[in-house]
Amino acid sequence: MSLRRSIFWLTAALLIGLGLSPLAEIFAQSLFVNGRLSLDLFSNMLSSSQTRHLLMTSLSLAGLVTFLSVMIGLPLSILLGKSDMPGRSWLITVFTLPLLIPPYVQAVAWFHLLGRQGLVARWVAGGDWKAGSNFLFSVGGCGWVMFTCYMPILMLLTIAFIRSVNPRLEEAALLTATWPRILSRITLPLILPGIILGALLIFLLDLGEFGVPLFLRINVFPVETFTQFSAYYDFGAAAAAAAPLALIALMAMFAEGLFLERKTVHVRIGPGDGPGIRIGLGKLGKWLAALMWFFAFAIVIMPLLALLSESAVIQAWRTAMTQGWDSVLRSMFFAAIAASLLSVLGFLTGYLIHVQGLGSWRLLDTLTILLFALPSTVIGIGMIGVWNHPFTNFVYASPIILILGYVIQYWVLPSRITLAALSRIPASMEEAAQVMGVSWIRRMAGIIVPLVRRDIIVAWLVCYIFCLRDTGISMLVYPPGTDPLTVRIFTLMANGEPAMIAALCVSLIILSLIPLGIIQWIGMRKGWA
Amino acid sequence: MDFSLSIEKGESLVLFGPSGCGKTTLLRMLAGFVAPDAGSILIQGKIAARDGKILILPEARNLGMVFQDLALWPHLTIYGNLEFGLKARGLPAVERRRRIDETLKLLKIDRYAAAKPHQLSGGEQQRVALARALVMQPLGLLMDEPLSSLDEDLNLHLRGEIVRLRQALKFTLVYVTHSRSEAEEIGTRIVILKKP
Repeated sequence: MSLRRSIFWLTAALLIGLGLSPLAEIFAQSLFVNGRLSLDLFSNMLSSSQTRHLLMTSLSLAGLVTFLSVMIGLPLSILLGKSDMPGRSWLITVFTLPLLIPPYVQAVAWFHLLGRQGLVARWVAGGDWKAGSNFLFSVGGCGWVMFTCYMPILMLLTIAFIRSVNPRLEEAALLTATWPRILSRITLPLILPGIILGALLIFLLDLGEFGVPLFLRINVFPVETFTQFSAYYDFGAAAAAAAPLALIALMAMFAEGLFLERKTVHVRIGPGDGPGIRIGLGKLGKWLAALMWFFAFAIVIMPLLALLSESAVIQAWRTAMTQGWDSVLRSMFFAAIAASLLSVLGFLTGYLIHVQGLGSWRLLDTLTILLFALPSTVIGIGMIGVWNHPFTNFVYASPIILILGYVIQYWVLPSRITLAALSRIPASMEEAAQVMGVSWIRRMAGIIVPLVRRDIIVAWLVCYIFCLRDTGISMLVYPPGTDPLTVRIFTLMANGEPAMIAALCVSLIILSLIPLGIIQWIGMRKGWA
Repeated sequence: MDFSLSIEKGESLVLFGPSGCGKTTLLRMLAGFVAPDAGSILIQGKIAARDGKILILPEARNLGMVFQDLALWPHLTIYGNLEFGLKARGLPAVERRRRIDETLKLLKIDRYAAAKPHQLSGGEQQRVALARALVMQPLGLLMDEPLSSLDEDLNLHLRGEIVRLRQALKFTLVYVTHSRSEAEEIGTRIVILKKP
């Protein structure tokens, strides 16, 4: 077997082994009680009114967020991706900011904005405002916060698809129709796969979101899973609570595969393929820009300002660093290690899928998406079951398990970024080297990697940010004494000073922005687009 | 498509036909990127591919290829583009330099050795692609519509260069084109392919 094929098999084996083992463990634990095959846990769960209530709440919340994301996110994406409205790229940057921030930190920010003694309460209601707090700690409020966290995913995917539309198709339509008709009959049908993928991803991520509902005291399946495990240490019940989420994720991925006719979807992060044809807004453009800035200010900047305002006390920062500096360093270290591993594994997986290097390439592609869509609590619970044995204690009791969890959950990110990058490179680039007698390893090192090196750096950065902001896996699997910052913040929230908590949240945001800033600076010096 | 063909050493064989008739596919089979569904490909008596399986990989066939899009590596200089394959073959630096200098002079692009591909004109890039294939001293050279994107004057000029080089170096050439005039000027034998 050639080296290339061996590496493909190793990559596939790692993905399948690491990725499917937690899932298999979840189903095994929930189907076997006292060593016997039993559906007791499921039947207890399904017959319980609490389970039905949990299911209704989980699905309602996910449905609400998806609905809002499509209804608001889609027109926003068209405005930002298709029109000539001034300030578009800055607005895209601002609306994307929430993706850098853990969702529950944003919940904390909204709490400092709309809470009973939040910023709005101080400005408007004389320091005590129940309405904002009542709204926030409701399904509607929870949905609103999650909408602000996840809508950027639909926005970015839709804009990426808009940029990939062949301008000639719209040009041909412009000869006989106006923009509203072109949008509805040409552009929207072409970008529909991106919209559906974005909506599906948001639905699944919301279904598995754990930090925001936990903070806002909305009981949903991931919260129940976490409670069963951490409060009652009932692994079987936790697994049974996690299993419906895993099933829904599996069904959704199957439906996505059918509906999108199993095409691979490429997402390019960075400049578009070309300017395309922009919708001219004329004087309306400035008014719409002002409206969009107001909207961005309201949903992104105001909560962050509230957080900053709450943390603007020097003593709070001193206490935050005293109580959290070790977690800060650990978070950066773990995120960097995981991002580096992910960059390598994701690159190999993306390349394997691109060249269809194994017969199972479609399965591997789908598996990476499934693992991303699976609730982190499902993966976390499953990993505990897999690794909590005496002979694997060197993994279970060390930060290795944390890093493995990040790798499993976020594998799709570098894989898809690599896939998008490779799809822009003609196959002849590698073939020209191949025909010269150059081995596969040398082709990778000398031709392919240099051609996609910027995308590999972007992949590293994206992975770093997602690992840094991870909450679900971190909270479930971190070994004692190795809590990353997201866990430390959660732990301290119970009886920590709000200002100190706010300072820790802001430091988490800064940690995400540092590598972004460094890479932007390097990119500007090297003249990267 | 059923096909049977022998290519003699030193001949200049042109595969001529309309778009979609399978010329490029045939060339890619010779290069080793695609295997025939049935039948076999022999190179110097050795079975390189048979019945859907590639038995000798492209990197082991010792064939040169000039691609339609040229496939020059943008991050390497012209010298680097030519050196890449020679380095992989383990040639010492002195020998690499000698071969590259010789080939660049032959193609009249020696003054561009330190330049990057994007700094060159279309015709100059074409010469670099040819130089990169020839520097490896291949058994045979495969060219996939290399002049199709060039304007008429440049096309005519480079056709003449290809004929001159072939006469000087006497390499075996398999050339794909849909241009009758190119086929007649370059080929010593023309195979006409029709759409199935």
